Amino acid sequence: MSLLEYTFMQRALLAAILIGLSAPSVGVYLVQRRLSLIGDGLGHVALAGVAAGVLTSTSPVWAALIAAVGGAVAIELIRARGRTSGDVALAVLFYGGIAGGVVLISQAPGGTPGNLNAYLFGAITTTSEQDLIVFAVLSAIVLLVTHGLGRYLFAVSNDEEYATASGLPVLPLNLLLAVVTAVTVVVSMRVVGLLLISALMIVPIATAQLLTGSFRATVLLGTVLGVAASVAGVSTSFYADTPSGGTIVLFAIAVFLLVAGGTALRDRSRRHS
Amino acid sequence: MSATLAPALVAEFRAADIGYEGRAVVHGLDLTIAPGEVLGILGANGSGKSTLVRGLLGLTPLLAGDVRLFGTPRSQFRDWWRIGYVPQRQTVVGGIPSTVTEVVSSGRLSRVRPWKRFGPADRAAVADAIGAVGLHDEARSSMAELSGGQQRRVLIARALATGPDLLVLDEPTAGVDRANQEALALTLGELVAAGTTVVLITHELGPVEPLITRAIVLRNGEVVHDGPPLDHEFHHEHDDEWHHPHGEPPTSRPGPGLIG
Repeated sequence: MSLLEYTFMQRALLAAILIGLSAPSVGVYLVQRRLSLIGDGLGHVALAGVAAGVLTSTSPVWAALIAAVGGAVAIELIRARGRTSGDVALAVLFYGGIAGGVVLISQAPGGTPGNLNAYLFGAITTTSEQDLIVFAVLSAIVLLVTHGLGRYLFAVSNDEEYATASGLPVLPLNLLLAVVTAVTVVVSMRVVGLLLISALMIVPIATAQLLTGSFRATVLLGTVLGVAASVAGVSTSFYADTPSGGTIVLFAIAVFLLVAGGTALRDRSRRHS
Repeated sequence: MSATLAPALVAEFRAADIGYEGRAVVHGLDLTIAPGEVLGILGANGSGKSTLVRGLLGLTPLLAGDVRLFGTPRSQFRDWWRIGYVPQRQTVVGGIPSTVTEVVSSGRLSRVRPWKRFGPADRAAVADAIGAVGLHDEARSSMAELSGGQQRRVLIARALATGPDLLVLDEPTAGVDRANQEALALTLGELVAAGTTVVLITHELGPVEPLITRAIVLRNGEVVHDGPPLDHEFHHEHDDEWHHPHGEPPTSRPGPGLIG
């Protein structure tokens, strides 16, 4: 158990579990409404927040949270107004966020774009005790919303028009989902990284849905796979000295490819039998 | 409860213009729907059938005039559980697998408080709705395993999960095989017998035809016929968009067993 002798590893593993639980819980609704890339866009926006935090010597976590939540609300309001411009609005947000981040960090004392690496791709040594407390609170909020209001988020994601006709508060629910997506992005900025978090929202769910027949089972299995990938990735990162975010995502993708290959073979043999 | 509180009219349009951004698709509509009516809405593609219904449900803006639901102006109407809506949708398989029960449960939400779990009454209502469309054995099946006609029946069950007083169906029989059309007609017949008001958009009447008590025909956003479904004058005037129910079935109609 040499791994757990280091307090930074204890914090990294706890953060990994929080991410593994939160990211698929949000991601399942993003996959269902075919907005799989929205987490990626919010990661880019959060980067501008991180850079602003570094530049002003305030907490990068809080600055990233403000930027990501603001971006999420903006996207959802644009999407609600008219679908055609939503695509362009997302692109502006993507590139505006990352460009703003790079330019802002270059202005920080001793800052180079290289300083952003840990935020972009994740690192196991960067999670502070204070970060961990913030992440725990934010994850609790994410899980409370996604599970407590799960039926509502399902209804809105499954058939938005029907949800409107049943008198459900569609815009507030969409805004809520956007905000918890942004919160999840921030929770994962230390260990997974802002450029890779979207993968942990999407890939475990994509894997789970190959094996399940119900929404509930997809959420549960996706969460188990998410926790497994993030804990395995963080541990491997410690021994192999690799960036934790990349390692976690490679684990998640490896499991996806194994399952996709397995189910394809199974379906083929069924057809031939 | 609804029986004692029910006003005289289920729905009421007064000089209603319905459409988007100043372009009315339905204009000057005067229409009242009484309790227990089974109203068929007919007309060619683009005649405004769906827009009329969407205007009723609050999905398409009301540009002028007045729409009332159960006596309340649409903008102030809150009892959406009293209306069950079956949208025109060919497929209902989203990105994530979901079971029949999960989809039908989403129709129950307007009667459940947020953060509250489903109680026994909610679960019973969902099971009853699934039973009413004859899919009891498929309740735990994944939507993807069902045929197109069965998926359509799931959407009807979803609309029934609140126990609505008004059921609105947009082309419920389009692309559905004969067996599923007959199952639908059976379900609708039981609902009508129990006092549910039905508004039905349709191209082809098929097995639901005997249930219809009144038909309106739309052309270019205006009602050009309103009366009994087999009115002679109406046949004569609109034979281009009306398949005579007693004649030979048109060749475009899908035969039984095509999809099921």
